[in-house]
Amino acid sequence: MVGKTRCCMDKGSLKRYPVFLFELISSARFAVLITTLIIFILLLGLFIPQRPFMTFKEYGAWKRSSPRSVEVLEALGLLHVYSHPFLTILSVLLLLSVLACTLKRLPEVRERLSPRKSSLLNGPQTLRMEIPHVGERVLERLGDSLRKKGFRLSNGEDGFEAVKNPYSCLGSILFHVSFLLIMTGAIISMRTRFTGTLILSEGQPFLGRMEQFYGASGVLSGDELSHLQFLLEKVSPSFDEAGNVIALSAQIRVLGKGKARVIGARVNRPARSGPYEIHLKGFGYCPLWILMDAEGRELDGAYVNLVVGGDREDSFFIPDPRSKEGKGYRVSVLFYPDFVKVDGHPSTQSFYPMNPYFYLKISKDDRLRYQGMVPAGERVSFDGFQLEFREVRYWAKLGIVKDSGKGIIFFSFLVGICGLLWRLLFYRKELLVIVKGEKARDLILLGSSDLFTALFKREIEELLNFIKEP
Amino acid sequence: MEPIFFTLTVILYALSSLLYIGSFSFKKDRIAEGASFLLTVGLLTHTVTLIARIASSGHIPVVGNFENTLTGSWFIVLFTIMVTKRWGLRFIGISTVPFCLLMLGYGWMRGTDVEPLTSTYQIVWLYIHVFFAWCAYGSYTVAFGVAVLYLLKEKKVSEGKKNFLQGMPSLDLLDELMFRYTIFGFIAEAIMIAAGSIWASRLWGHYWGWDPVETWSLLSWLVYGNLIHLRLVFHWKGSKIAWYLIFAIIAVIVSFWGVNIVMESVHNFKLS
Repeated sequence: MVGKTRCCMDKGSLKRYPVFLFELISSARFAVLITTLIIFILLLGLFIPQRPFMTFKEYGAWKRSSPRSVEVLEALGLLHVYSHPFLTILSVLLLLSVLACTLKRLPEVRERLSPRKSSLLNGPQTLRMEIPHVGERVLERLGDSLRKKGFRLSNGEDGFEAVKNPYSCLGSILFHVSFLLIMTGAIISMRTRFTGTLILSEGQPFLGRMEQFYGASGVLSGDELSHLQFLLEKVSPSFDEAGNVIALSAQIRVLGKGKARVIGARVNRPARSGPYEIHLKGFGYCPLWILMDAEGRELDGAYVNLVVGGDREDSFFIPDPRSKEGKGYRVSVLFYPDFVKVDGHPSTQSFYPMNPYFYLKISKDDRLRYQGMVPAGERVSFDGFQLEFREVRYWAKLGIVKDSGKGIIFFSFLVGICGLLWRLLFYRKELLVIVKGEKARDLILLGSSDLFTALFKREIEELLNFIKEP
Repeated sequence: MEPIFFTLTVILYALSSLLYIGSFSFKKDRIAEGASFLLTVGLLTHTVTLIARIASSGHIPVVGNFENTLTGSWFIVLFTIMVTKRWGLRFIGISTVPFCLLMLGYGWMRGTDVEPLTSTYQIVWLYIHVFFAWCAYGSYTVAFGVAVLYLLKEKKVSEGKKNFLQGMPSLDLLDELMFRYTIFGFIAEAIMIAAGSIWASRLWGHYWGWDPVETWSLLSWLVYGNLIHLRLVFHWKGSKIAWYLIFAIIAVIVSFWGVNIVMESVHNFKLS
């Protein structure tokens, strides 16, 4: 019987499918279910370590310690929860749900916005109060007080009607529209976003070449990036006594015909060049090392970006010009930007490279070839070579961002917050005041409030107590 | 001056908590009034502590765990006093004041050293973000407190006995107050998330990065958003909402306290 019903569906029931689907998607139950599932997925992402947030080293260590569980989690896609297709599907369903809810509410909103007779007389009023024997003065004061509270009054046959925030239902539409805008912005972001990290030293240009990026994600069409060319002219950090960076700025010269100009980037204040934002994300010291032979002839040299400071040691590699197998020297560096001796120990009196000193350990084939302190501009000798640090500059970590969806997202935040405020703080309140009798008047108050009945009742009671006072 | 007033504040809040618990245990309304008085004095010393902190650090106390808990608990106590005065909810402090004490203890244990306002913090969005964060968590905590009171009062009402909670607002009003403070929190949290997102975009170049703190904030916002839907669409009321709020506060506690302890977060705002 069931099978027969299924195979013999008439056109009418087929037509009902879209209606059923719309009803399902626009139902609040569906929205709550989807939201709950999204919450669940987000929770999973918080409790299961996520691969994109782990370094190779961390991931490797975890994989070695529990290979089976990593394998299972990886197979289930639980190591990439935030980019998992299931979350994308849920987001799309939420988007559809919001869209359907908004469409479904439109007739109701239109109905509420249209000028109409109060439904409080016949409708399911939520508040009813009767006040016997009131004078003309009380009625007048009630009207005045309601007006002061922001109610709009309109006279009727037996009294008046007071309404406050009649359009608050539009807030709900605004809020739901903001969701759609956020989703639209997020989709545009996903499709158009480009981010890249550059590490440049002072005086080094970026020539719009992909290979200059330290890391990049996103897509750029054709030679789009070639329109972005600039030179990092200057990096200016400011430190407090403890070495905390209290300000950091960079001076950037935009290159290109007719484009040449100087722009500034600061932490929290990215520079702009066309559709690109240039974010200043960090900095470090960048000494120029020169390798010379015993007679002082220059053999090699380069600027090297060091991550040093305090007791932090960094190292770099110098190729041995005599080695045919590509061997070389590992140079470990402790850096003192403004060298001073405190109680016989090396220290720095500031973090500006005013008097730079390097504590070096030079080794090759696991054998130490040199160890000692050297100021910038002086040479050290080892294995028939001389090494000198000629100058110290700064390097900067720059983030290059192009994101066309961001503006829409921020605009939708504004729309959403306005919607929330309108719907939830400035909600609709209605009061119908009916006057009965000629001389000894009785007042009947019928009221309703969108969100808070007891609070509204209390508000009206307080108002009545106030106006009854002599 | 700051340590003296901080200690004084903790002592006053501790005494206030004891009195709240005592008033509840001995069913004496007047003891709760004493607790409210001590709480108000505590708020004054708390305010002096904040001013002293601003004087010594040179910035609004929003950097580091100690300053965050100091400011956050100030907001919660302020909200508690306002709610007590406005709605006559004398016993609300029974849940919110011990909560603040725990917060202050946590902040103190994490170190009270003044942290500088480094370059990453120098943006107006920080103040908007933090201000609304505390408004949100203050409102949620008050909603939680009202929920506890609702359940206590409901129990007494169902037993049908005369009790000391009779002087408090009706169950209907408590029910609406729970929802009202949830709404305040929800709106404030929405502004907090939006401001944080704009700040992140200025600082890191991305407005959303699925960082644990961000994700937990979104999660708690969705949890409270769900509650609003359940109320408006499915007409959830009374004890259902109260129990929901008691569980929902966990999301708030985790996003504020838990995440930074358990997981690595970009919310340490260090430059590379």
